[in-house]
Amino acid sequence: MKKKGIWRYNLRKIQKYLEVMKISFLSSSSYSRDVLGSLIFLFLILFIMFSLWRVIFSSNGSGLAHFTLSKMLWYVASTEALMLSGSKLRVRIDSEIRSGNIANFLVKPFFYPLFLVFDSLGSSIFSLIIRLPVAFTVALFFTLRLELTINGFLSYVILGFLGLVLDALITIFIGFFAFFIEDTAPVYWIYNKMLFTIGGLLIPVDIMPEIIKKVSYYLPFRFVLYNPAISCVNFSLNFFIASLVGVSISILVMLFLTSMEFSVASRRLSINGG
Amino acid sequence: MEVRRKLHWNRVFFLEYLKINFLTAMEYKASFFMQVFGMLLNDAALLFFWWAIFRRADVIKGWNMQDVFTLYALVTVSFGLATGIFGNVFMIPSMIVKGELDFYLTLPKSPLLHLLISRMSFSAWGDMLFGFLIYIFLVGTSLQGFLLFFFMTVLSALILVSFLIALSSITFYLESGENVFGDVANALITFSLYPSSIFPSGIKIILYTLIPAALIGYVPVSIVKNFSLKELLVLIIALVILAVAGVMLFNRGLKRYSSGSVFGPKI
Repeated sequence: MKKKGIWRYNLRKIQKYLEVMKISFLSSSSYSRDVLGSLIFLFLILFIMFSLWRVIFSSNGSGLAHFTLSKMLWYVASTEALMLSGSKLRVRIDSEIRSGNIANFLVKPFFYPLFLVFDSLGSSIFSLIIRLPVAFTVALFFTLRLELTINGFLSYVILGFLGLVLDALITIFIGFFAFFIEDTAPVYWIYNKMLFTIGGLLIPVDIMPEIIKKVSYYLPFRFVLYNPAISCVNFSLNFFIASLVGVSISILVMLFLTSMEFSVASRRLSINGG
Repeated sequence: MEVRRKLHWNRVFFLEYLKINFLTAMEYKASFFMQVFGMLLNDAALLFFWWAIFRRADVIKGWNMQDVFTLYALVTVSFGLATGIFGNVFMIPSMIVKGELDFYLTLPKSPLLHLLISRMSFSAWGDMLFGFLIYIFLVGTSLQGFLLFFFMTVLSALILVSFLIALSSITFYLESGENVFGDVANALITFSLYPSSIFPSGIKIILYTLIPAALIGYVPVSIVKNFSLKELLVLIIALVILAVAGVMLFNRGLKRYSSGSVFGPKI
């Protein structure tokens, strides 16, 4: 009976965060024009990448590091869909900390970092649901080939979701820097460019020099875009399991670091009187 | 005589605002230098992409790595000049929609000039620094070459600002003008950072007209590489047309402007 009570208590605790995610999902759906704007950008970037890779592949013969032209474009479509669905919380966290509005959250029965993770996931999932079909349709339109298997797609959905969780945690971690420094934007730009370079946004890490591959291997950024996208276009069970383990460990580490950061920062906040 | 006096006072006004914007930046030194340094790293990452690409191909449809570096140097300095000096150029549509032009309309100076220079983007100086460093260390040849490069960045920046003023004026007429502005401006910047030769000819026509990325990136780069008076004249004519169109469209659009009952302080 006592055990049942704990379960029910924990379930209610999780339910309130799921409710936050649901509200964020529904409110994202009302900003349809923003989504349309990013769909235009998605089309544009895929068109540019297709034009660029077509030229490079034509001078490189059959392929680059096991990639064909169509696989490369499907890869970029997969990474871009995730990238455009990433967390947009940094500016909000920054302004909430600066304006002092964060105090409103501290008195609510939420653990603020977790509240933000679920809030971010709600809008990210909505974005991905809209952008992914468009990205794949555009890739199909340019390549006239379907580089997608059921296993590949399912692994992309699972790893992509976990990638979005990791992205939300890193974004929140950077957002909390606002407790300590004047402006968090430059730190976020650097994270963004980490995803761009060693995170494999436009070029798979496979075709980069060995040293870059090694750096990418030991950092968590590849789990946000590269691993889900590779699993999508080149599915292998071993790679999927390794990615699943890697992204799960990265999420736990980031969750720990973000919680620690928040606990240190909120203590500073109370010392200063809010 | 009257025109000369007006030009003189506008120049004084412009330089005074530039000074005030710098003094403001120096009040937030940590933020300013972080943004400059952050943007420098941000831009460097873009070059990383091309470095990885050129490991696989020596030349991409007539463009080698040096040409792409020149393109990046030119576009980043040009973008930095545009937003570093005319910091509000990307904000005009949202200011029109929010009814935030009242402040500029009640003062005796040209509302457009005043609006453009009353803000400075801190990160723009990071763009400029990046572009100059790239040109000097990875491209640069001679002092003469550098002066030509600098002149082309100024021309390119003025074309960019003129086009954005003309484009932002549609917000006076269209409810969704702010979104159209965002989409076209985004496309303009994105296209200007890739070699034009990779695109099909149909797209190239658009890049010389509707979304003039060619006038901001490829044509100035072509002039820096091999000076051509003909291409320079094309750019100057394009600048005059866009500047006149921009000012006319903005001033005509102002007649349709209304701010409703927006209240807010302006310090």
